[in-house]
Amino acid sequence: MNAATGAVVPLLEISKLTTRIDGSAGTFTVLDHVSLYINPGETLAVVGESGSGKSIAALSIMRLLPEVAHIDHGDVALHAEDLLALPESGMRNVRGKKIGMIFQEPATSLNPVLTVGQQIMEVLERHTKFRGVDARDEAIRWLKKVEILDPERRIDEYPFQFSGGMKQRVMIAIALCAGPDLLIADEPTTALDVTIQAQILDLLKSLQKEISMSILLITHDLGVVAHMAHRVALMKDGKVLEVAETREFFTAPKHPYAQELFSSLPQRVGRAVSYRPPDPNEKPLLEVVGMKVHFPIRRGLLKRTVGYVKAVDGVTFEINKGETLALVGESGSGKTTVGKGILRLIPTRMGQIRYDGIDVLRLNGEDLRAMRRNMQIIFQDPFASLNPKMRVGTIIEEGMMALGVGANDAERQVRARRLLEQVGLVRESYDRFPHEFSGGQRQRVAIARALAVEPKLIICDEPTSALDVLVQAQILKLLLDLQKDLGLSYLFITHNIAVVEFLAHRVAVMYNGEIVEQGDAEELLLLPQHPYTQQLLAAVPTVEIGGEEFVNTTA
Amino acid sequence: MEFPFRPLFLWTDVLVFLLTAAVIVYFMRVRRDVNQRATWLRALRNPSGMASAVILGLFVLVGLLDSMHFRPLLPPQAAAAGAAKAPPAAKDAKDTKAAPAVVVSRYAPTALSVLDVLLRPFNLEGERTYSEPLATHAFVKENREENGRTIRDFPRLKVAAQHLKDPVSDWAWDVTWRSAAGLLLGVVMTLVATAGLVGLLVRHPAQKGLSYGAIFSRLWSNQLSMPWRAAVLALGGALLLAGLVIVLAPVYHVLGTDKVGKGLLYLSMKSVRTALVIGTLTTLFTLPFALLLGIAAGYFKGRIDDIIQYIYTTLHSIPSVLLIAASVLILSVQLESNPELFATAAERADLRLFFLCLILGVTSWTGLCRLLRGETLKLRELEYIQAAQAFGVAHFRIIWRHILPNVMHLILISVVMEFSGLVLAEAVLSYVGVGVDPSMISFGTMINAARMEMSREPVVWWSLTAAFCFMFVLVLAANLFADSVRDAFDPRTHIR
Repeated sequence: MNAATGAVVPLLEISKLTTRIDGSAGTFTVLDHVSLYINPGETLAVVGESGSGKSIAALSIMRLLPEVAHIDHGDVALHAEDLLALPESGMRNVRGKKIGMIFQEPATSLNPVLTVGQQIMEVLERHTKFRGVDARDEAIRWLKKVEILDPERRIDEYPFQFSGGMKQRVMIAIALCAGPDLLIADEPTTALDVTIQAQILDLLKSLQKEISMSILLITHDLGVVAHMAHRVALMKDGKVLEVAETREFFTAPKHPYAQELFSSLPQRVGRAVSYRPPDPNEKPLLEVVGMKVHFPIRRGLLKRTVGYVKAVDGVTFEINKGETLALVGESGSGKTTVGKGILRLIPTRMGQIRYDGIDVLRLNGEDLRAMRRNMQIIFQDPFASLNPKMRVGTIIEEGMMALGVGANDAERQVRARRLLEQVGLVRESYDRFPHEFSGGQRQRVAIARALAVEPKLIICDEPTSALDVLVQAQILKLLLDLQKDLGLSYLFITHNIAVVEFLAHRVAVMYNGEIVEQGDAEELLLLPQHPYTQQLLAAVPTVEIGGEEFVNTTA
Repeated sequence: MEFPFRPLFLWTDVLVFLLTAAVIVYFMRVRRDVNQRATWLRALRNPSGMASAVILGLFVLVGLLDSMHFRPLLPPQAAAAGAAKAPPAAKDAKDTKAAPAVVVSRYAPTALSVLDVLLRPFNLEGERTYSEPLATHAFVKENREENGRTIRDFPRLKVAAQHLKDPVSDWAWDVTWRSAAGLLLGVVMTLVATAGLVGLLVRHPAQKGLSYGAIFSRLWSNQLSMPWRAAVLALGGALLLAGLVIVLAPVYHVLGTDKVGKGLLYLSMKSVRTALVIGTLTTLFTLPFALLLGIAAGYFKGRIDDIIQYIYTTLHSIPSVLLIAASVLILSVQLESNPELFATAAERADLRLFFLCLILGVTSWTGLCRLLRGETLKLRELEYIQAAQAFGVAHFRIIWRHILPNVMHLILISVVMEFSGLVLAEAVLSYVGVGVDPSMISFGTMINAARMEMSREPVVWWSLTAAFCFMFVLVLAANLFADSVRDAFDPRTHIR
């Protein structure tokens, strides 16, 4: 296939693999003549946007496709043995023994009712000669290898006693304990925080060196690719567009799609905004002072409160008119809770939230309703944030109706159509249902819905983290344009440092419910003061494109 | 001006027709909505779903015909006599009180339905007691005088098989040719129906430009967009049986007779309505409880959720048979002591049926309620609900516009799934004696009446068989239909 491979016999060779899915609307091809190979000890990264078929490729190799999908033709050879010709019983000896696999979501890949030890030993007893006490010793050895502290004790614990990163370590132990030649890692770090991601990737790298296995790494994160892969395969719409050495791929991408992908990385565009010192005469639009959101822990028959989970514990910041404040932090740091608390979607226990000098927490009834016109929210998941049973027009008009924007139905309808145009959708979208739109288009609808009531402040709760990089760039640009045109202020909640760098005036870093550092975006990203901020920024994988270095960069 | 009949609207009739109207309105809305339409078509695209829909449709037709009640005008002399003392046609002594002597009731105190009228040629009345299906002679020996001697022997039936001169020699031939004629009639009716279907399909835009012959061959090889072959086969089966009945029933008791000489075919047909009413109205009564309480519990959480959960856990821990038995017994005492409220026996029996549905409904909403609470708990955390809350949309409006449409599939699935269970529950309850009024014809009362005869030698097998077959087909069709509806509406079974 590739002349450059020379004498090396590839470990896994896929040729002209074609997989189809039978849907109600007919059959469509999800893998179209995919040809790839992996050499022993090599990491091949398969990169692509969602829906490009990279996960289906992995499932096709393992022959674990969902019922509706089938391999139409093609070859998958491991050690020159045709995997597609094997009977199902023979395939069971391949899975786990010769090819290990880890998945994206560590929380659901482990069985919650078995101890982690049992789950590792299950694989050991199936595929190796270890039995009973030996298997247990081997399992402990593997837990040590994946750097779990105190493995003798932790082997008898259940998955819920492990954190997300720890669970992924256990998954890696399970996948590798039978000594496979190839590890398929399907987005192994996507569900993890950036600091944990760095640790897991380092672990995979050192294990690869130690036991000399090959890795088929499926990811959409170019930073991860640059960090891990020897070679890169770029996929789109079920086809492999380009296969290249990693350095070559980043320095001189051949395919126009790769070039497009790189140019849409937020860093490539550079900083879209620059810090401007607030006008001392102007009062801040939103002031949050000592905000505390505590969730009560209730126990017993009478549900008495026995304690509190301090999700947000004394947060203070302000947002000026026309300004973007990025609220950065890992999952569980309480940043989303801050956003919902400001909108009073969840009760705040203490503190003040002053919008234009008025304390939002003291408002009730009609006053609160009037206040809701000023602040709106855009959510992370465009698939969950639009009611699937309502037409786009009705979705946009709902807020207007509830808050009394527009005099009558006709006026609201005109306004809704104009908003659709403003966010870059066609007017005809008005009568369609959300499922007829792609993720990016849905996010546009969500933005139109928020804009419909003419808010001054929009809380953007990770609005682009569920989107592909090209779409992300478009949505970010739309948000910037809207800010320019309408003078909006944003509270931008995100974990993506690249996005922060792109559009934030100021940054606040949250950790464990508190803001540990805040300040002007340029300064803070360049010279972080707090150790946590430093750790956070250091963990972000970087990409070098044509000699320039870029931070994290999801595709 | 005198009409030959006076329409009679029983409680359950009114509800049945309201329900039918609601279903029609619902399907008219479905027709306009692309998504819903596709989902329903998916339910019917399954051949067993299509076949069971046809069979269920026939049962519903029988039930609807049987829900159009009226009181026929009495013949003049009887009416005159009725004016003098009491309506002579009244069989039930209690009913005569219902029509006070002063007001001349010129209409019969018994309620007839359209189905009764249609079945009249097939319902031979006047036998004394049991007779086997297609029998010429009674099942029980009787004494009879012949030429001065008393002979003990099986007498000839009073109304059935009267046309046979010599029943012993003629019977086999007569039944054979009549069956053959019946089957032939069935085949002819099936062909006519198929031709009608093909005629409709030709006009449908999906089959544009196809000839009649082409459509027929595609229908037969199942190449059309819908599994019409299954529909034709199911309908054909039903029409073959109908053909047999049409030819045989005017002269024979096709399914035999029961203890008091009533034709079992007639009884079985009448039972269909009772079963359908129980199956549908009960769910209608459960819905308000399940919907209101389930969604309120899931949406508001906290205290409201606690209270609702306590209510349904408590209700669920009382054996439902106990609750039903107690309520029905209290009710029947009330009905017995107030006979003047009802003009006909049918009205009293109907009211009892109505309350039985109500009681069954009140005791069986917990399952759906729990399901809806769980789903609402999940939905309320979704971002589009939070977006609506951020707009300050009122709670009721959020429930109505956001939550209700998104739990509709659960409601629909549980309604069709519960139907067959309720039909069976009625049979069990009536068997135990706390079901419908004893004078109301239902599968339960039929089985109850037949059970004693199972120990008889030779056994009276046909009355149980008739009830069993009808109920089996009804429940099987309902279950198969429910299954394909569930498959079509359950988002988890979809191809993503």
